[in-house]
Amino acid sequence: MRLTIINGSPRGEASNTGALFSHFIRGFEETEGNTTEVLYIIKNLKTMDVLVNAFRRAEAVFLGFPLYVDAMPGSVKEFLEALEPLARREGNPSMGFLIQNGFPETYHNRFAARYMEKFAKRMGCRCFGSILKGGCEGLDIQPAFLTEKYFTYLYEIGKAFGESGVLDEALLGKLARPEHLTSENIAQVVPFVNKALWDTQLEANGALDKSFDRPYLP
Amino acid sequence: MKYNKINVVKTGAVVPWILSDYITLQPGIVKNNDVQFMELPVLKTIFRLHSIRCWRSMALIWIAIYDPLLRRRGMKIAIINGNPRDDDQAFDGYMETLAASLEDLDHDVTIHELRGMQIIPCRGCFDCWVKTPGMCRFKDDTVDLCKSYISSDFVIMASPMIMGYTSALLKNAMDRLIPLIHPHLRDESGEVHHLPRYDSYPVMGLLLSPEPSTDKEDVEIVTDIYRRACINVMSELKFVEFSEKPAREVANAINNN
Repeated sequence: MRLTIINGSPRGEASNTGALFSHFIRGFEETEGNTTEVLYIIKNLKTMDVLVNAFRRAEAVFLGFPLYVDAMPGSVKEFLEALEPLARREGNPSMGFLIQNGFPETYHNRFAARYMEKFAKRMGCRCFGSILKGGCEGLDIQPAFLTEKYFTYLYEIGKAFGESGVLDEALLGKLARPEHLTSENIAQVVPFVNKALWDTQLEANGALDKSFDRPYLP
Repeated sequence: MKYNKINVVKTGAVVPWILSDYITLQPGIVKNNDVQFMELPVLKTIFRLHSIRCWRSMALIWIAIYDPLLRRRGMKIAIINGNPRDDDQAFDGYMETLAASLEDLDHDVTIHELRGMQIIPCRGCFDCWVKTPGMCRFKDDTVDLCKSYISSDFVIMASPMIMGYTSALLKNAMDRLIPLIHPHLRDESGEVHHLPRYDSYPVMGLLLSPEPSTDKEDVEIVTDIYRRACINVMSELKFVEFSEKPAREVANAINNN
């Protein structure tokens, strides 16, 4: 199978979405004959022609993005709107999605995933389903034992998909953990993230004392 | 976070509950303060003022007695018009009628027509959280949009449905609102969400015009996503309406919510 990956992260190549995709691709390409091409929405903001043409000739498309304000980033929506003329066209590719978010729980992604799957239906595309993962902000500073676990699942999901053309529900479920957190978990995780992820960066930028500034007050 | 304890005395000469229906507070006040309502006849109220021990009540009693028709007067309302199409004059016209109706009801209304504005898509750099807290690195028209948003009591997100969702134009603007919140996380009813940066945030309404293919599922999807987005901007989704409904009725609904 030839897979067209469209990375919708506004951070482009240096994105958490890209990191997740790279392991999926590694697994997918294990099957002989499988190939991928990767395109970036951020590099095509002026005109979506390159992306729309890639979609037009693609066999299968995976669209990935980070959750922005509970949905797709605005630039991803621009791409989806550019696809409108191809809706219900004969020979549209199959579609799958990868949605990641920065909160610890995967649950936040479910609503955008429901939208994307309806979008595939609207386009007349067969839908593979969605790979969903929470806890993806600052993948590069998270402990390796955590990220390696996610990356291994993504590799396995990619490998199984490369062999069968199907996203393995059991693996998707494992990757999605934690779907929710208990109050006890939240009480542990929140102070840690606030300090290790946010205050550390604020401090490095000499902005910790301005952390709660309100510059847009009337 | 509750900031002040406010006693609101709903009072009337004989039957307090007749007047009490006219008293509604701005949503921000109710949300951010510990507001206690009581219903008392005028004379009893005057005798009880000492025991209430809250002189703020005086102003509200004054309003209740002398201006019973005052309902949310002076709400600051921002209409964020995410219509990307020059040729869809009907949609823009609807927003103008809605604004006029709301002004008739004594509200202060601003329309932000996103189509003519410079809105650079969010790059996810998080400068607005970790470098220049509360401020985006891009000094485009979203600076004024953010200021207007945070000083509003009610924000109406308006857009035609395009491919089952609100416009990319509106989404790009919404993505640029994140300087208004704080990066820190908190427990919100068993889910992790962000901390507020400001004391109060506007409530939200969603105003849509359907596309030919819009079905019940689309409306459900867009409603669910906006309801969740509201949690992250300390807001509450007050309504989802379609532009088939007369603007005056929508204005009345906003006024009475």
